[in-house]
Amino acid sequence: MKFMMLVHETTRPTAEPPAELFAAIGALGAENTANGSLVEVGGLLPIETGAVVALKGGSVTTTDGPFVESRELVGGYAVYEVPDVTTAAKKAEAFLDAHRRTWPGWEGWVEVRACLDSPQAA
Amino acid sequence: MSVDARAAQAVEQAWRQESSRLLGALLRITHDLARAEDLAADALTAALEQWPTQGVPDNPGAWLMTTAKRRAIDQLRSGQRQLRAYATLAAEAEESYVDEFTVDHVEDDVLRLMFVCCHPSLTDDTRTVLTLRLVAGLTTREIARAYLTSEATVASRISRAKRTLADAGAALEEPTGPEREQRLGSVMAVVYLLFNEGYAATAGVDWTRPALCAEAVRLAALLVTVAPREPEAYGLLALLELQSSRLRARLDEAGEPVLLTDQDRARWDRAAISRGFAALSAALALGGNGPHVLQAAIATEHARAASVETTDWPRIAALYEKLARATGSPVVELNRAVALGMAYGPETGLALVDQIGPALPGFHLVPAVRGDLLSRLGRRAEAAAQFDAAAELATNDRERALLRARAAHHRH
Repeated sequence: MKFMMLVHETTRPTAEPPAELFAAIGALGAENTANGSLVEVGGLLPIETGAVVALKGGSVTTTDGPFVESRELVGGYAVYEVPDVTTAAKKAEAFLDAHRRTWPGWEGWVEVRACLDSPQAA
Repeated sequence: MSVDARAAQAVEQAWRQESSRLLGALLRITHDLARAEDLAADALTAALEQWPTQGVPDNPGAWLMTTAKRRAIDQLRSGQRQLRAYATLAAEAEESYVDEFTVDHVEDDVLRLMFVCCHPSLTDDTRTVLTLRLVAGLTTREIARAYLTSEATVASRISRAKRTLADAGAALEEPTGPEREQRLGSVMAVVYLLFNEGYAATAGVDWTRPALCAEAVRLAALLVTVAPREPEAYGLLALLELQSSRLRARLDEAGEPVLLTDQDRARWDRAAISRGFAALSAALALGGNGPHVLQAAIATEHARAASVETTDWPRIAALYEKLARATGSPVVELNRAVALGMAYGPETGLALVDQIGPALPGFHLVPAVRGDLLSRLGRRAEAAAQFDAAAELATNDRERALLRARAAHHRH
């Protein structure tokens, strides 16, 4: 089944991630491509480059900045095809471990969410 | 699904995932490719016998490895085999074998297996077949189907290759320094060749064979995991993912080829593109600027453009120029001519084609590109003649038909 991973960043020690991090993430990506579990992966630009679209009180509004000041930002995502949530969590652990090894001081967490594979009739 | 079917599927899956590690480890231990293969095949047979009744083990790969190693130890102990390699090993203390079996050498093992399959004593064709058999774990039947040939042909080619390797004493070579670089280069060349064979088949009625492409992507990814400091390996993986993303769009419903200009970009595989971008980021982070990285950068320009018109052709032409300098390949120059034609007008492209044409005698894409540039200049009769000439030289049936159609179109 498919799992969506959202990477939340809480502490960013340097503005730019080190090159070693890209290499470490690349190696993980290759490993999970070789075993067929990685479906999709990507980084996200800072929230200022996006928009917030909201429905409130019957009207839809779009603003070009974040509504709420957030200390945690989602910096990237990945989709894995794995048998269960335990295996999915292991992928997230390996991803965080790559940060620990290559980017001292970085802190964050990964939201691991199972995707609904198909609509289910009640 | 029945228990038997589920177990058989688990065996197959474990084999696909683990066969290269299994064979690599057994090769290190036995120093003998044929012996290693026999032991791996025995373990596979044991799995097929036992998993349906005893259940699929929690870690199928580890089960296969343990079973194969135990058999190897049994054979060593019973002295059934009098191979010279064993005689040497048997002189040492038994504990040292056990160390051999338990120390984790996965990366070295798989890489060594790749090196053996791409040994200089073998031809390119043989290298690809052997890599498919031993590293990718395909059966001779699957390889025969992929190459549109008979199982017997594939089997005899593989056994000839093994004899060649044995004669060359190649099984345990571990090249270092510049030779290692060179051998890594030939492994990458084989993976690339394999992909190309799937992407634009040189013979037969189908223009593409996606299964070969998928296998090449898997091998490139495997290569990265065993050579994680090689930017070119990441570049190759990125390139193959990005090229694969267009596979679906390269054929229409009737199975006819669709050129880049006419492809429905909504049919490009966005997931493959995302994986390609990630691999290229890693290559660039490692300071990569070799031929595969440059080709992946070119493929990236196509992947991120919404249409042919909005593609950054000047950037692509500049990347091709770097690539031409790195490789000295006239085929790269031909591609640069296409990019120049798109960036600065057909005349600029034509001038380069005329300059490099003599370096590529009999290559159908020279007249095909020339025809395309002439067509854009409105010189239709000359374009038709070039497309005819290209069709004459093409070896793939579908491609030949496409070129004939373009020639006919330009005569009206």
